[in-house]
Amino acid sequence: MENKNYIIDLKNVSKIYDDDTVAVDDVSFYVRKGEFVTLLGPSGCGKSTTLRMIAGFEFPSKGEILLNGKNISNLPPNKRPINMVFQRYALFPHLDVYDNIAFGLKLKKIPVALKDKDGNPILKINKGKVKDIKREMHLTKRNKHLSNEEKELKLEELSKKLNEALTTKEQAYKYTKLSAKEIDEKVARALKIVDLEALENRSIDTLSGGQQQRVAIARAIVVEPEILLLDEPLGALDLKMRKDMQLELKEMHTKLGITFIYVTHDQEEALTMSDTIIIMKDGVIQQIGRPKDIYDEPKNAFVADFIGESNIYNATMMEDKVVRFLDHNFACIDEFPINEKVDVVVRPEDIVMNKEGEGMIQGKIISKIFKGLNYQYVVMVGKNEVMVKSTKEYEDGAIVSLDIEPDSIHIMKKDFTTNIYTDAWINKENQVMIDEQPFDVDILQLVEGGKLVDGEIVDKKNKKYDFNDADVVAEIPLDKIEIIDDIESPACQIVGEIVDSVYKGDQYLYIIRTENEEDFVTYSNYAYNLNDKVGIHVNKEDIKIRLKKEVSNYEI
Amino acid sequence: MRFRLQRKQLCIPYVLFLILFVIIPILFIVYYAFTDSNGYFTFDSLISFFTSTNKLNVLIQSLLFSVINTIVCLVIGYPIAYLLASSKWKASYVIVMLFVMPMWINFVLRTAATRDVLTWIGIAGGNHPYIATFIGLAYNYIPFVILPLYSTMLKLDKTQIEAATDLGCNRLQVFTKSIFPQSIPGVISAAQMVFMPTMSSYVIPETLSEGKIVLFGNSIYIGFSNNQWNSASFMAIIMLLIVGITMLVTRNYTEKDAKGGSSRW
Repeated sequence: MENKNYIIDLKNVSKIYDDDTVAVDDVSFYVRKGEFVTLLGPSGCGKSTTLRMIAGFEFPSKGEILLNGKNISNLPPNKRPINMVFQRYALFPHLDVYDNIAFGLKLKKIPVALKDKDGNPILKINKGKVKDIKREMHLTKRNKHLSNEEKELKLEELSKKLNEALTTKEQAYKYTKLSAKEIDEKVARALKIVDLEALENRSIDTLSGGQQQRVAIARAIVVEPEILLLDEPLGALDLKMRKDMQLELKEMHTKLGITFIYVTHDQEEALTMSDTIIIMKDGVIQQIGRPKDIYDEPKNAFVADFIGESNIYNATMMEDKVVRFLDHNFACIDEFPINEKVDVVVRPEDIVMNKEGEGMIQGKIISKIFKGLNYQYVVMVGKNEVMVKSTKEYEDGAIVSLDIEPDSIHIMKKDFTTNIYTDAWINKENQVMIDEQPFDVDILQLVEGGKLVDGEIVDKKNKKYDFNDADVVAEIPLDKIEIIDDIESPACQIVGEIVDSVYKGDQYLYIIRTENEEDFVTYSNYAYNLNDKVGIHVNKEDIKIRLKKEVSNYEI
Repeated sequence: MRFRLQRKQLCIPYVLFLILFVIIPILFIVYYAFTDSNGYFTFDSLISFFTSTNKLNVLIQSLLFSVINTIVCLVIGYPIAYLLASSKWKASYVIVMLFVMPMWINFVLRTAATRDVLTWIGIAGGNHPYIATFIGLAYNYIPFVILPLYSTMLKLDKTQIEAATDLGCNRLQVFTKSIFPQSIPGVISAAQMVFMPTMSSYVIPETLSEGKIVLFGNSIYIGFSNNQWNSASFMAIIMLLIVGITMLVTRNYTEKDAKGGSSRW
């Protein structure tokens, strides 16, 4: 069976909405009993959807969610021993503090094993289980995102289970409610844990944001869930309160000993509180690890940029364990193939700042900010900006030297080296259609020694070709896509929205996404904001195309 | 000294309006209620009202009609308002309009049309006065139920429904423990919008029952049209008292949610 320590285990879970947007894409992770796990990522990365699937407000389109080894994927929230603290608390305004907290307790039913007169357990067919299996079968039949084969396989498995449930008798239970006295005691204990003892008779709208927050937590923990889910619970609090609450939550976690799954977009919150951080982007997990590991060893530029402040540069491997960036060869400890283009991350606090002439590279301080503990400088090295944190004070405008130790240089595989469009095709005008927009292209590159004779493509053997509707793969290098500010301009070939930007020292790496969800990745020296609408221009000679079929198919 | 318009002076027209059209008419009604036809002070109207079984019967019948009509309207209107307020229905605005649109047609005309339709489908007021009147009352007052309920339900927090299921409610319990308690202010104001106007409604029972059902509004009208100003005024005061009492009883709820607000007849 599964590892018993995993309280929750997501296996290849995807969530696809009716309009075909993929919110969560093939996510797998597990959570150990008693762990504090944080799902971290920018808004829209699928972290909340993942949490909602664990809570039961959404059901996965594909994949399974196991709770203690049991599949709970399609179980409604009221049947899961999991409770949630909502972003905006979702307290019941018609109830006072006491009744809000007691809400779940009043509904709770305690199973008591039924026994006959002689003390032998009474056995019955488990009707609840049968109902659950039937429900699951029904949902499986209606799931549009599974292929017919997958459906059949699953249905077969379920009907087996159904037969088993219908034929085997299990221990029968009767359910009793908690007595008023028990509820009183539990509410009092919960109020004590969240420090709200004196407020139990207050109405909800007389409470401050922080107090409402505490009531929301008390309401969730009082029913003794196995897992507590927290959906950006501190988002509505001010900075000071947030810091206090962070520590308090952490303390509560230790005290209660239950598993916490926390969702936030605040990397500092995640680093402060979690045992494990799961970083997500566009519905995909980027990295899972302990806070320190993620901070020190980010897997890619996105993680490095998202977690903490960092300097990210384009670099090239020069020799074994020598990497070149900022116009200097640095010794490093990561091994990559020579000449490979890589991303380099250096944390601002890992750069040692010295007086002019006493380090590896020279630069000029162009900005200096006092941050309490240290100074934050921006140093111009050649064309690159380097962010440095140092306790030493230097004058703004001074020339300084910078040293970077080999183990402070973290090298990552580059995310993108070129844009590839596999479903491009050629239109009548001999243009290549990328994302259903025409781009001028040198069509003659498809034919060896090709030339245009009277508007027809002819090769050296005088064979004629017609590439209308031909399927091709188009390739555009990252630095050959030009961003155009004026989307009305005739040079603009396609319009998209900037969905991602990573600053890499001297330039930005942008991902521009069009309406049809095609991505164009490009470098630019200019700063654009996320969600800016921009145009794209690609020069004719910069698009490389190759046919998917043999060239002879297009002979005429 | 130059005259300077101050904020205080802006309210003068309203005060004048209120005195002319609200305070003075009420004083007149009180005056007529406690005088006889010669203008002398007397309790005759009071005594005759409380000793006349006929008039008391009308009062009780009107109260019953109001209670039943309020319940009928709430039972029909509540699910509609709930469906409209839940975001799943994209056409909800159109449907709200469909319910509200009849209110733009002249009320007397609409009631006459209702009578004709009812006669046509065989529920003529002459044969079935009660059914016809109830249908007419419900038809006219359902929009007044839907609007306040709809606006209350729009404000319901969807995450509270999730919170309720999360804490162990099944679908029925979500409704009884979270949605319904929170919509009570809307229910109260909806009930107010129906209960009191039904009591004083005059055109609907008159037209649809073809004069067979006499509600409180009708009997006040009959009094005035027969020159019994004194007793009719006293009935008007009774009406006013009932309105006042219901307002007092439901005040606590409506304070939180002062909604609704449409003309009444």
